[in-house]
Amino acid sequence: MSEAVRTYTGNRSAGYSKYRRRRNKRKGLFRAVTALFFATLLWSWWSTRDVHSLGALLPNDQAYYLCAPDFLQRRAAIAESAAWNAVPESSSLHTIRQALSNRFGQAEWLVNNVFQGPVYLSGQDLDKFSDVLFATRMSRIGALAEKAFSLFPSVKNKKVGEVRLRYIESSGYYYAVRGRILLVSRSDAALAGALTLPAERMLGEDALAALATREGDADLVCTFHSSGSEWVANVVENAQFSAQWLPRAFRIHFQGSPRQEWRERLAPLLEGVTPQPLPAPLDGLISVSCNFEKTLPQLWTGIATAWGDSFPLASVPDFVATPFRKTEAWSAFGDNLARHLGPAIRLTLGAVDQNAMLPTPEFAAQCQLIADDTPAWPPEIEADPAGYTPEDMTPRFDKESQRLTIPTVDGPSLQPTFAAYGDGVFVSTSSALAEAILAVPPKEDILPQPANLFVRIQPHATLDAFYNGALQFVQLGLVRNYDPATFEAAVTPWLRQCEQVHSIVASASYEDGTIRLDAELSMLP
Amino acid sequence: MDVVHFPYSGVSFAGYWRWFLGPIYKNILIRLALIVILQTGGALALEAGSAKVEITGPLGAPLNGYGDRMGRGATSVHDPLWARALYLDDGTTKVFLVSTDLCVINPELRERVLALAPAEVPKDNIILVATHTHSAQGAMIKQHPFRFVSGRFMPEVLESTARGIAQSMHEAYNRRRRAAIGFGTAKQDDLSANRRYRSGPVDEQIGVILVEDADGNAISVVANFAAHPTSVPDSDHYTYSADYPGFYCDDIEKGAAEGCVALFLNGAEGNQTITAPKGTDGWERTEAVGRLLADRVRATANKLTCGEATLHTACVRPELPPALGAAYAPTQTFLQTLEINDLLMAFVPGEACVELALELRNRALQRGYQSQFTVGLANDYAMYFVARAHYADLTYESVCSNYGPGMEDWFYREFGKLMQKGDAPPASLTPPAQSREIPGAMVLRLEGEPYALGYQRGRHFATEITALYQSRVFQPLNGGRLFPDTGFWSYWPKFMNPTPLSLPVLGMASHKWLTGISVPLMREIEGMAEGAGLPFDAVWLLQNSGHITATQDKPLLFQAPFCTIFAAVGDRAGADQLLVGRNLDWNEKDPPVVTEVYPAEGQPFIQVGFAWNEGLFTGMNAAALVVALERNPLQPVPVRSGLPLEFLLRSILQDCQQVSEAVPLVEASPDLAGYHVLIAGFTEKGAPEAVVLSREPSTAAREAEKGLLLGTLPSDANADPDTVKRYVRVLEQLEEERIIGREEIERVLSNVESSNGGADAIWNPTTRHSVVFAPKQRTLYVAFPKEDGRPGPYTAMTLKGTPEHE
Repeated sequence: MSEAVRTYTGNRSAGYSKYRRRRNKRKGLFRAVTALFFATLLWSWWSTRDVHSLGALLPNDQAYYLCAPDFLQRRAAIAESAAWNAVPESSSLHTIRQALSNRFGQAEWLVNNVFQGPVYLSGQDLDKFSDVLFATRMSRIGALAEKAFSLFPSVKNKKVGEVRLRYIESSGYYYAVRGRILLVSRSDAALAGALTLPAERMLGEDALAALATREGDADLVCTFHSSGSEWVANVVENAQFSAQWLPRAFRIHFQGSPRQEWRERLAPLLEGVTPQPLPAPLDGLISVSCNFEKTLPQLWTGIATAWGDSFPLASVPDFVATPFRKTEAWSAFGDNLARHLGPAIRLTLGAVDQNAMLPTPEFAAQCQLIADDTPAWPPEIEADPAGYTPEDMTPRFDKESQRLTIPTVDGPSLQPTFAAYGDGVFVSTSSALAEAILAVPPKEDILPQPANLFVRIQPHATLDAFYNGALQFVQLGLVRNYDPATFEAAVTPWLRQCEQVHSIVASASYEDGTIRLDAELSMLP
Repeated sequence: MDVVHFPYSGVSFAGYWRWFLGPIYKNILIRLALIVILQTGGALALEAGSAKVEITGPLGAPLNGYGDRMGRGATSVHDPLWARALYLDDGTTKVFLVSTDLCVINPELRERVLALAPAEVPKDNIILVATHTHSAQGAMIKQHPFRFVSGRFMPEVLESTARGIAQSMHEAYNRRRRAAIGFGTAKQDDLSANRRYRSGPVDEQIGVILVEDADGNAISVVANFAAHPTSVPDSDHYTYSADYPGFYCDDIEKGAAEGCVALFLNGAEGNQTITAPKGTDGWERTEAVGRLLADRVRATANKLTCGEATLHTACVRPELPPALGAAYAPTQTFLQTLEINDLLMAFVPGEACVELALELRNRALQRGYQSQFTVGLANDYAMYFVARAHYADLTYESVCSNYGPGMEDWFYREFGKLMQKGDAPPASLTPPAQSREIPGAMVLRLEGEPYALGYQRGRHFATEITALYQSRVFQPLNGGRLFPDTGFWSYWPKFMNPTPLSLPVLGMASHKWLTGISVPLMREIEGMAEGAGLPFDAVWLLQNSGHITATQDKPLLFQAPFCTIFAAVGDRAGADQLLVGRNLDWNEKDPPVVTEVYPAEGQPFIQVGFAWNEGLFTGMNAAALVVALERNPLQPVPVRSGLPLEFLLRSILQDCQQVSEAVPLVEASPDLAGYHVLIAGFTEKGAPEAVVLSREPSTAAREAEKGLLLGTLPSDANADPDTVKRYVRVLEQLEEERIIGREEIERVLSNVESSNGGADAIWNPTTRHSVVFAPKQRTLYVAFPKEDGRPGPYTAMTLKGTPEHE
């Protein structure tokens, strides 16, 4: 510090007064700033009060509602799920994953303050999703950030009727804020409509809470109502589905009621059906286990009725029936056997025989036998009488192996084989597949969840088998618009995509007019 | 029996050594000189070895040869199957000759065998032959659609069979020892017959090769005999058997020294089968033929003298002629020859019909070979090789021949290149066609042999013909328009394209329309196809495309009012004595072409039509004979049973001089229904004559009334209304003319008057050319539509040539 003597000149009082005036001025400024600060604070507090009900801003007549209850907490986990790898790279779904993983291109704090509670999506248009209405509750900071954002030049004010909306030119989105509630849509009409809902069209808080009700830890819950889309409206009503992303899997749950017309069509198949304990399916590319509490002929009739007039196999094809029509004994045995097959039926596509005269899918089925008056096994019919030529398609029963076979054409992949197996009868279109399956003891496991239908698919192996089969036709030029190179180019991305998928499993059940479906896509570790 | 003595020694191999090691003091210098001579030829150290290995496939594997088995597996073994290998080495050339009891040698099998074969022998010197038994394992062909005959593909069967074959080669190589060889021929004496034609040709020759060791023991006896091994009884349709070659080999091997391996090489068995000696049937017949063959071979071999040999092999991988079945028919194959001194063995990659083998033998003998054996089913399988003369026959062999009638020439040409002796005939060069322009059209001058005529035309219009083929055959077929709505083809789902299969099937089916075609015409179409760079069947389908389309009840070419033809005859034609007018109505807008044809044989002639044969219904020859044709649109297009009518008219122009010669040819045509053919000319005495022939319902020949002959009478109740109107106009304009001159006819033909927008006009929107024939002057006046569709000017063209009646 300097030791210099300070000398003051001039009017002392004037100097004093000047000093005081300056001090008073500073005090005034301070008071003003303080006042402004408190005023701003007050305004911020006041303007960002959470006084609006989200239930009052969502229409109650939307065709669908989608709710992500823990969006903020689950966002990163969803984005990191390996299940996304099953989606082709070219798919626009990847933009969702990208948006989730890079926080929509925004700062973390901002995202955390914009998405404070459950996130809701709803709309009428289920075909093009042109009127999706996005709604979420922001934090106070989020609400303030919006207010700051609204000052940006790219945000314009736009009036729709008497409602003032903000419009983001760069993205084409409209948005509005009521209290801490943010509403966004591409459709100004949908947004304005939400802001001006009459009381009778408001969803209400209870219904809103119901939307977020979920089975287990679903990340996404969706409810469909009857209007909005033809394809949904024609088949089911009051449909709901939920989705969950796990680190290596993706699960969905669906439930809905068939509409009247479909209820009638499905009646022969579903009437009186309740979920049943299902036996574990046979191994294969595509495996099915089902129990509709019906015999095989009844099940077939049910499927044919549900399918409608275009059902390709309305009656048993000649090539299946003819062998059993060769003699009266075989005919009686075949009819009796068919009547007693069921209700638990397991069906699998075991493989596609690429070396057959034409690529041939090989199927196998294991059918429970209804206990009363079951056909005798082994069949008490003469075994392979001398004089049968290889062209003769009469069934042959081999006492040693206890197997019944029907010689047809080509090799083992077209040699239907029957055998007693487990609690019923095993049937395969292929003797080779039969050999492989019958070599191991029958599976006695019961699936953990009772259902009426269970399906398991190994996507990569299945696609690979069909690709190689189809390629043989392509190489001969028998598939339109493809040569081997273009066919390979078309299929390879899907094959590569499927490489990481372990399986897709789905189970469906019907009870009290409601269809429930659970499906899971699992990725390889 | 014709025994060929070994040229060097005249004694057996063992005798040769005894002679050589005799008293040294005798003629020692002479013998040394002989050694030098023989060594110079490099043929002093023949080694040979033989072996056989069983290759019977497993039970359950499909058998090859019959499609009706549908891939069902074998159920039993009647007699085992073998691979028999003979190794030959003259010190310079090492060869494996391997005969297998299989139906064919397919590429997958050959490739695998070559990979496993002894490395000491060059791959190109390995000759793999199938005996063609139809009772051996299939399962070795991966390619579709051959799996329908050979059954499912079983890699394990391919591998075990290939290993067996390769093992026989290794063992034969390991058993090689000093050897001598001789060859000869015998007459097969009623062991085989032509299976297609009762009196058809048969290969009477059995080729025999004997290979002996130094002790005179047979190492191998090789027989070359042409007949299908398809004699296994129906009751044993699923039984393994080597068929009659198995009995032959068994008989020879049992009768010879231990270790002797009998090889059976099938010949040009395409249309040859075995007989039934002494009325035998079933297995007895099979065995009888095998053993009788062995007797004849043994008798010949016993008379053979063996000695040293010079071996020479040659091979080529030529492109095959283009085929419609591009998806499955190979485009390249493998031809091989083996020469043992003066014996030429030609190895055919498929089933040659006997006519080809006999002609190849003639050619080989002419080039200095002492003997020639044709061996079929060797190294590859390009299906049947059929003689041109039988390509038109709807036989199994002809429909299984993918490469057109020109395959016969290809066969001689390619094997000719492989022969060491003599010179291959020089390839003939066809000069390009000459062309010039006349108003509205092109005039093309063709000259030479039938093939040259076709080639010139095909070459000149290659682009147009290819485009026509695409638009009229390929695209309609590809678009499903030529498929029947029922049956096999109707089951194909939309995303599948049956064209690669249906096109060759349609090509095969079209052979029936070649029935009755003359060889020169066939040659001309071959030339056309080659000139245009298309398969023969493609060109033939194009020729018949209109017919195919029309008979599917989807008319494309036959929906127009079809032509106007009339003639003024005698005094009514004034000094010309005969004038013919015709307008051709044709629905397609093909560019008009006038073709002057100067064939090597027959009459020069001129035709007015298009680049392509279809629609060539207007012509005149140097003998002043005029032909023109019209169709009655009311008559349905008949399903044709023979040659297209264009070819009938063409034959008349080339071969006939008077109307009286042409009329029987037209009347004999089975396909005249719905057509009117006008034929006009001069009698031997120079009198003009003209007739219109039709078959509605029976054949009728109508002559001129009052010097005027119309293609259709206006009073004809069977004629369609537009045609009647046209002819009424013709009559109205001409009946008042006492003398009808060329100008009057041109005026009538150019008449565009119409009451319904053109369909009933003499010159209507579909008229493609208008011609006035003045036969006496060998002149025709041709006009073509101008751009606006109206008649263009008439241009005079005179045909050079000397009519005989003048």
